[in-house]
Amino acid sequence: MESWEPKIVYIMCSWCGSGGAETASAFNLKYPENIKPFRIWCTGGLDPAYILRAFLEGADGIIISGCHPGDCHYDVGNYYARRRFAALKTILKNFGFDENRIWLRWVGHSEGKRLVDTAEEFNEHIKKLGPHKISQ
Amino acid sequence: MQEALNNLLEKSFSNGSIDGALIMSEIDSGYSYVYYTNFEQIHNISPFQPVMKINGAKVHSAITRENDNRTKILFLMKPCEIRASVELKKLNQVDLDNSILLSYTCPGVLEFKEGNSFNDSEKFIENFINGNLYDNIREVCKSCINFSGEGADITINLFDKSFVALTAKGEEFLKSANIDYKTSFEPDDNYEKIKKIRETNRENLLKEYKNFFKSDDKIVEYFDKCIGCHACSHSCPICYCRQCYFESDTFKYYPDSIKRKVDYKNALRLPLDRVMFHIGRVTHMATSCVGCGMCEDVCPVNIKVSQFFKYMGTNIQNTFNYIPGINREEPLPLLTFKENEFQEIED
Amino acid sequence: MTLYYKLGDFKEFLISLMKNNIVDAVVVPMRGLTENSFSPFLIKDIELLKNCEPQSPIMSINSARALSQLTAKGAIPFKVAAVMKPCEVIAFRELIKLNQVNPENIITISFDCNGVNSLKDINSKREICEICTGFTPDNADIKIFSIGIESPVIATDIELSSLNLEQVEYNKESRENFIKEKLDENIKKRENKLLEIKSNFQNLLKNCIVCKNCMRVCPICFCQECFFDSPALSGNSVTYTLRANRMSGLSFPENKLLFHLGRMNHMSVSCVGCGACEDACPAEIPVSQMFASAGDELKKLFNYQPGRDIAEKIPFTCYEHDELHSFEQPYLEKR
Repeated sequence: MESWEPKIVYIMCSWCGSGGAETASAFNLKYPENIKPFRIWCTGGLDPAYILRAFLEGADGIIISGCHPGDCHYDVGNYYARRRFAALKTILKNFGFDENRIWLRWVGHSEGKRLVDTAEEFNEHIKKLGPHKISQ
Repeated sequence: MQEALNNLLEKSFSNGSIDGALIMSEIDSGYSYVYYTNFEQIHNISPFQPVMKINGAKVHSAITRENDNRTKILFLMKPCEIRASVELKKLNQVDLDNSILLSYTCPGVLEFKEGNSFNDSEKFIENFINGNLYDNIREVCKSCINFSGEGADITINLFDKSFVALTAKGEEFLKSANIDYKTSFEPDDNYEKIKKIRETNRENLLKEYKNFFKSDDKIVEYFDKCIGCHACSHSCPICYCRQCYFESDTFKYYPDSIKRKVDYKNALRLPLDRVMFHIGRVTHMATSCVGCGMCEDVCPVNIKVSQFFKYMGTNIQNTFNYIPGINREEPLPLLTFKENEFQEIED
Repeated sequence: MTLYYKLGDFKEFLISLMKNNIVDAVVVPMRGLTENSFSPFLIKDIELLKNCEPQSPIMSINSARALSQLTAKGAIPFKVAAVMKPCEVIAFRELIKLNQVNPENIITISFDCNGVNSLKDINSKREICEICTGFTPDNADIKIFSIGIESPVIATDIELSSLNLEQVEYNKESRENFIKEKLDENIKKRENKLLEIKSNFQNLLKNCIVCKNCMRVCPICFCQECFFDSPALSGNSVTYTLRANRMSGLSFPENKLLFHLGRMNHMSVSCVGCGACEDACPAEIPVSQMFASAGDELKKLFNYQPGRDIAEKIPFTCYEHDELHSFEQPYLEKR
């Protein structure tokens, strides 16, 4: 019986998010191979429709990481991202979709361990939830 | 017929003559087109389901507009959708080189909600091939005389349950899958019976509309309830413009234009240019109107748009002696000319 | 300062606004040529104005959208009074925030609204009107009160002394009691109705053909090219084949859930509950109620009411430094 590997997309901003990934690699930390990193410039530029797209196209889980609020490379992008993300989670929950399959966790440039821990934690979390089935 | 079709699909996928197939199927939410990329994926196909939620030519365009010259796809669609695809090829919106167009003798289409939950398509077809015309299909379907699948590479004659190769490409495709086929469409009595009824319906429609549009205020009356939503053009397979001319800056008026309009007419009905939109759309696309009827079904205020376009389209197409979508080599009437023609309308 | 005047006949009031040069034209519903056809008209001729129907039983388009179209290239160069239902006034105010309408020279007139009839079935009220919680003209420049009082009253800050209207006292308490009663009733109905919708969401979308009519008639959806029509979601035979491989087949019309959930994310916080969407749907899907459900949740989340204050920014255009922490995933470092 084939064991199922979750399809996870890890959306990271180009500054702190990806920076966290770089720091992690500098310390030789690894995260699970089934997690696909997806780099964007800033979480503030992420239209929630793209998260929805991944969610509806078969992703079992999505994580979003960017600079901590107050530290955004573009000043205030992450504040807007947080609002949009809150709206997305609220709407998904309202109509009975599993909003726990999408996480928002800020990761700083130097927080390599935090990024890797997030990836592993989320991977275990999705494995427990099982594959994501959405009917068209 | 379903078995023969399954056979054709299995063989064509396995011998590599197609990499994908678009076929109407039953899914969770009813009946929709599904794009399959291998034979094992194919489940619950209902290729002759009498419903049209989107004109298949639009799907064809979405998939093949930016073509890669490698993916060979089979499209199993209704005759009007096939004709729309052929028209779209002339408009550079679709790739036909890597497509196999497969059609069938079409009994007509039910309105969305009914068609989407209609589970009796076998009986529906059976009645049709016994020479019965349905009353609850789209009005334009009742007067459609091009329902044999002309314009496609292959058509399925449901009356005698045969595959008919209409082009060399179609013939080659059927040969390589070892499927029996005919080389010309053989209409039987029931087919002719239905065709005759539809021809009569068509004549009646044209006459009725000619009588109605006696004066130029009649068109304003016809489109009186129009709310300018443009659903008709957005569901039309031929209306492919990313930005419709009638939604562009040309129709956004500057303040002094508005003042002049109001001073001249004393009152303006809002939104502006509702009837203009329809007249304009006729001049832009009625030469290619295939009479699928999507426009009427999406109209929120039940204006008989498709019948109007059938009337206008038929008249315009007759002027140019042109039937949209039947002949791939025939150029679009407004993109070609003869040096000596239409002298009667010149001064 | 708000003054209160007696309203005789609504039409006469509009005519007197024009006669006294307070406005040069009026935007108001009027009948079309055929039965049960209504449309907003921009009327400059006082004779024509005598045929208008300010409180038309049918709302074929949201007038805020019509005003947006008229002012696309600049303010209307003459004074206009726009007679609109409360939801249309709210849409108008949201569009001001979004830079999609130029409000200069426009005076809004609204009234206590009893709902409109459905374009699909003119003998029954629009479903969204049955559960409306914004049926009073709180946000208009000239407000016409009629609920719970003997005869209608005009309430306004606008200078109308040249009309020589009779100033009156009106039974404020009675009106407020009637309003509270109706509001309580509607809130309860709304809760029940939206609960039904929420729990039945995907099933209700069964017949959706993704024609996107709902988006096209929505007064708030102003994008020239909707994200869900744009090249962002287009593909070619290679990408479609890849996706079909992953999803074991791709169905068309495509992006049904993405379109509705995405549109909710984009605009439901500003949803005014006018119901243009539900009447525009060819498959009779209760879109307006779905958006009311999503919209109510977002309005609660951000403590936002569309149209109540033009200075109040739309939630996605502003932020707080310290908020919404419950949506951030807490982290316990593993040692």
